[in-house]
Order: sequence, then C-alpha cells, then structure tokens
Amino acid sequence: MPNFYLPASKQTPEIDFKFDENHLSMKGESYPENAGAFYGRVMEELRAYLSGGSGRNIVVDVALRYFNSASTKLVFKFVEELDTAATNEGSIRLNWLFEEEDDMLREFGENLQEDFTSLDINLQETTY
Amino acid sequence: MNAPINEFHAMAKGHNVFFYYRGYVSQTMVEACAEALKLRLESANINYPTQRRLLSSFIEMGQNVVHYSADSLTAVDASENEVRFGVLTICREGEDGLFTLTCTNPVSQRIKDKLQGKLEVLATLSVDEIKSLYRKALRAEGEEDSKGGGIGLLTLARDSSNPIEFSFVESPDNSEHQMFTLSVTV
Repeated sequence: MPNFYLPASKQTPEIDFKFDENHLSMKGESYPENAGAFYGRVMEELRAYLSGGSGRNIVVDVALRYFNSASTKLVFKFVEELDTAATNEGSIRLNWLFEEEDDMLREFGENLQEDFTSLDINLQETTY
Repeated sequence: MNAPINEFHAMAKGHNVFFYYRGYVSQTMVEACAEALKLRLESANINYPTQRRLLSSFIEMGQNVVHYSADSLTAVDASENEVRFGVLTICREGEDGLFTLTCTNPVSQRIKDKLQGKLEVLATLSVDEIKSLYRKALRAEGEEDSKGGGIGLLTLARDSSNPIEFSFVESPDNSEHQMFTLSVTV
C-alpha cells in the first residue's frame, strides 16, 4: 500500500507512515478542535497496514511534545491497535520520546509499558 | 476620558492578572494565545513542568469553552469552527508564585447537574486516585455528551497542584443558564 504523509500544523502532528520500510512516525503537537476527525484518518491507514501483512519488524516513533485530552485517548487507541497486532508480527518496537523534564509524558510512557506488554516500548528522553 | 479603562488596568495589575480574556472563543484564538503564553513563559524562565501544566490547562479550558459554553455564535451541533462565549483568566500569586487558571462560561441546567456530580467527586480525590481514574478513563468508550472522550476534567485535576475549585451561579443574562467557573493551580 502507498505510504501516508500529513505535514505538521500548529495543532496537529506530522504523520509519516513509511509502510515500505515498516517505519511509522508521529511528531509534533496535537490539540485539534476535532481530534476524532484527524485521528480517524490516521487509524484507518494504520489498520489497513496492520491487516495487510504479518511477520514484519515494525518500528514506530511517537514524539508528541504536547497532546490535549481528546488526542490522548486516540493516541492510547493507536498504541492499543499496535499491541493487538504484535502477536501477528515479527516484532513491534515503539519509541516513546519526551522532553527530559516532562514528568507527565514520562509517566504516560511508563503506563503504556505496563498496559501493552506485547510491544517493545522504549522510553527516550529528547530535547525539543 | 479613559478613566474606567485605566482603573481596570490598574486593578488587573494590582491583582497580578497575567492573562485575561472575556468574549467569544474559537480554536484559532486558543492556539494564538497558547503560542504567546508559551513565549512569555519561556522568556520568564519558568521551569518546564510548570510551563507544560500551564499551557495544557489553558488549552483544555479554552477548548472547553469552544465545545461546551451554552452561548454559541455557531450552530449548536457544529463540530468544527465553533465560536462560544467564555472568560479565561490567569493570575499569579506574587512575582514568583503559583499560577491560578480560571475559566467561566454559561451552561444549561442539565449540564450543570452532570458537571456538579463529577466535580464534587474530583475535588475530594488524592493525586493517586485521580491518576488511577485517568488510566481507567483512557480505556473507556467516549461519553455521549463529550467531544473529547471524557478525560478533560481528569486531565485538569491531574495537573493541578491544589484540588480543583468550581462554582455555579445564576446567569445575569439568561434565566435558563448557570455561570460555571472552574479553577486550577499550577
């Protein structure tokens, strides 16, 4: 399937799904007025990709500097979707990036590690 | 000629008003204000966790007004480009103190009843209890009345240093509305 790319805006992250390389990335800030509409498209692409193959080694980078409450729920769903697919794939590595002083995003990443054990979740400090 | 406005400015300064807006709020406005606030916090060397909590709470409150205020300039069933009435305030306790963020907007009696029950519970919970509810809410399906999955209030409560405070008073302009005020501290 073709790769999927959405450029970043002030309220929405850059979405860069390189399906041909099994590398997916989300990067930026996320607080659109209608988070459901934005992530609806992203999830559609993700589901199509995950159901279209197996045994792959997939790398996902999530570097969201800030996301609002409506986006939080959809980011969680995104990770949940990956976790469900993981048994069908070779491996799925999720790199969860956050500013080193951002205790909330660190904790969010730690909670993801507890909740989604089929994924290899790697917490990475970064500087924006 | 400008006596009232000068008085207003002096009063705002005297009460350490850091930010004040009263009027119709849109997503674009929330975004522009958040950007200006971010630069101001950075240039004042406010520590990063406080910056994040302040901006996060400001955006949640601004978007709450845009989504839920009962006074709307746009169609009530719109989900994009909504414009609704509210008041957003940030005050600082002294030069180096904590920031208190407050939002006020009219709500219907039905929404008041719903919010009141939720907020009364939230205001009594410990940080750990709020965090545990927050994790549960992430997994739950969205509520019917919610445009954000129902974790906006939990997010505000989680990021607040003090328990959230709230009040409802009769609207002076509309007998069917209550003015809802919510405060958090970062």
